[in-house]
Amino acid sequence: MRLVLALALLSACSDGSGRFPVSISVVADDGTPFSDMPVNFNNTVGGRTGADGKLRTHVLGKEGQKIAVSIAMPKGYKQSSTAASSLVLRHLVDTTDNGRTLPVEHTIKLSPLVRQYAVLVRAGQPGLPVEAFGAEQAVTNSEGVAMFLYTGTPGDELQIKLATTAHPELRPQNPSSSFVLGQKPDAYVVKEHFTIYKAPVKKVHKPAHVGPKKL
Amino acid sequence: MSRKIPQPEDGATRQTVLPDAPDEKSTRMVEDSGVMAQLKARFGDRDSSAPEEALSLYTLPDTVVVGRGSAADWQLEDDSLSRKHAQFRWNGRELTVEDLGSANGTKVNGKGVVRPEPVRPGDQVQLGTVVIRFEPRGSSPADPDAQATRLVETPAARPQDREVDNDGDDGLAPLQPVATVVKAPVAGAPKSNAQVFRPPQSAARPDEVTATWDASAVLVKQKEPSLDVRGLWHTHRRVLVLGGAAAWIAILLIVWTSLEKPPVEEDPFATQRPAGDKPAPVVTPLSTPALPTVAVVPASPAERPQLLAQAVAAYEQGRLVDSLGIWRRLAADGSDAGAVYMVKLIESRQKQDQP
Repeated sequence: MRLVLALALLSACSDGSGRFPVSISVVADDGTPFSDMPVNFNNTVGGRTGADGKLRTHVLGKEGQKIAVSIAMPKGYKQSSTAASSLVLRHLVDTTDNGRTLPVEHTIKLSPLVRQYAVLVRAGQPGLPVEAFGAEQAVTNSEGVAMFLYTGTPGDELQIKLATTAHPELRPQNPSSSFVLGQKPDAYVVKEHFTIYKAPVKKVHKPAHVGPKKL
Repeated sequence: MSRKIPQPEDGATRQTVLPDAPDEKSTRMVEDSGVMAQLKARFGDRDSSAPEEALSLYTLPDTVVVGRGSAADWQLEDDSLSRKHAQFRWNGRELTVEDLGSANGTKVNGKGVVRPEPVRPGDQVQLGTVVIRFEPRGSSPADPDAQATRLVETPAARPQDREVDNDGDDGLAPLQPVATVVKAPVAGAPKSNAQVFRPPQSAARPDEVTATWDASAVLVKQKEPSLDVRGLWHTHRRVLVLGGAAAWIAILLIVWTSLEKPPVEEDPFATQRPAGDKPAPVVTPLSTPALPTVAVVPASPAERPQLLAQAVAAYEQGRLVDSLGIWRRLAADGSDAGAVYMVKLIESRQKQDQP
């Protein structure tokens, strides 16, 4: 019986087929693991990730075979890499650890669809409302500085306006700045230098003396 | 106990003792086979009665590079330091400091260093937020580590430069610590050591106010003494021979045992190991030891507007270290979500910037 098993094993190994240990990690781009995520191998459910965001299992196949790895995308997230997610089955051995077999590791990175960004405003003028797309987000403090967090989609444009309607003497009036929201958390600084506009004083001309013309 | 500089066997010790300058009390430098001076590094609040957090002795050759990188002779782990921040050079007459193109600059007594500047006792050399104070003679009489850190002269020193021995143990004159590193202050901290190194006229500078030397401050590397192979062989010949034989026996035993047991293929995910097999060694990841945390003083409501202005200005100017210190104060009570966000943002950037 043992001889038969050994022969079967040998024949199976001769064409490179067998069980390959694999380790699939599903993490957010900030390193947060996704637990209990179903992972598919060639559109077949292979298991669910654990608390550490990893699924450790064995895959049957041949040496060098390409296996498509996919997950059901969690709500509010997208896959960071647009390239097809697949792994290649390889027999890996740790030569430094007594020939121990190593799993084929594969990581699926997810990035959120919306992110938070910080907006820092240096206006030098206290009491100025700061608006994002017309909605007031903050008011500059006594030092003329304001800060708020803005939630937006990476790649979108963010328009910040300093509303100076209540201060007609300030120049420029209602200045605005635009930013393209990055793919990573970031802070954007809006710096504006205002000057006080003084309306020119009109000279009042005395009416010309109307009277007899001197000869 | 005084530390003696080792002398050559022929007794012809080559050394130079600096004569005292007429206008200053000299910090004595002993030059012996390239040994110029010894630096003492001390971290922590000098006003505190608690013992020093770290203490180490360093032997300086003619040139010492101080910085954050591993290529520096004196490596200090501080975010404000460049990898190769500054260089101290002993030219035979005086000690000079030169900035090596650092990001945060080098100052001597608050004045920026453009070209090599001489350093005299009592001077304060600031590298980023790290301050090295060159103490004048007799400035720290109560220093508990003075004996361990002072410079010493050998008996061959010139008589006119010899001093009266205070401890009377070996007839050697006591010398003073050359440099002391103290942590930079945090504005509003209950126990400030500002008087140690902060010039009074610069107390209100934003750099000083926002400078932090917090829990990340640690002395990470201690230079190994140079190995004298020939002397080691002469003094420990028997031990080295026996040790070498034992090492060979151990190697042969390891090879023999590995030949006896062929490697067994393991299932990397198996929960149970074969009977009789040794469990895998527990690998503890290398990590820096737990550091004493520096309490961040939360900003009061009255000072929040000004601190926010300083934080935004520092961030805009790219002074992330300064900015981070202020954001931490604003975020200390946890009520300011924006400040908490900025602390995380800057800390993650600093982690990414680290090699």
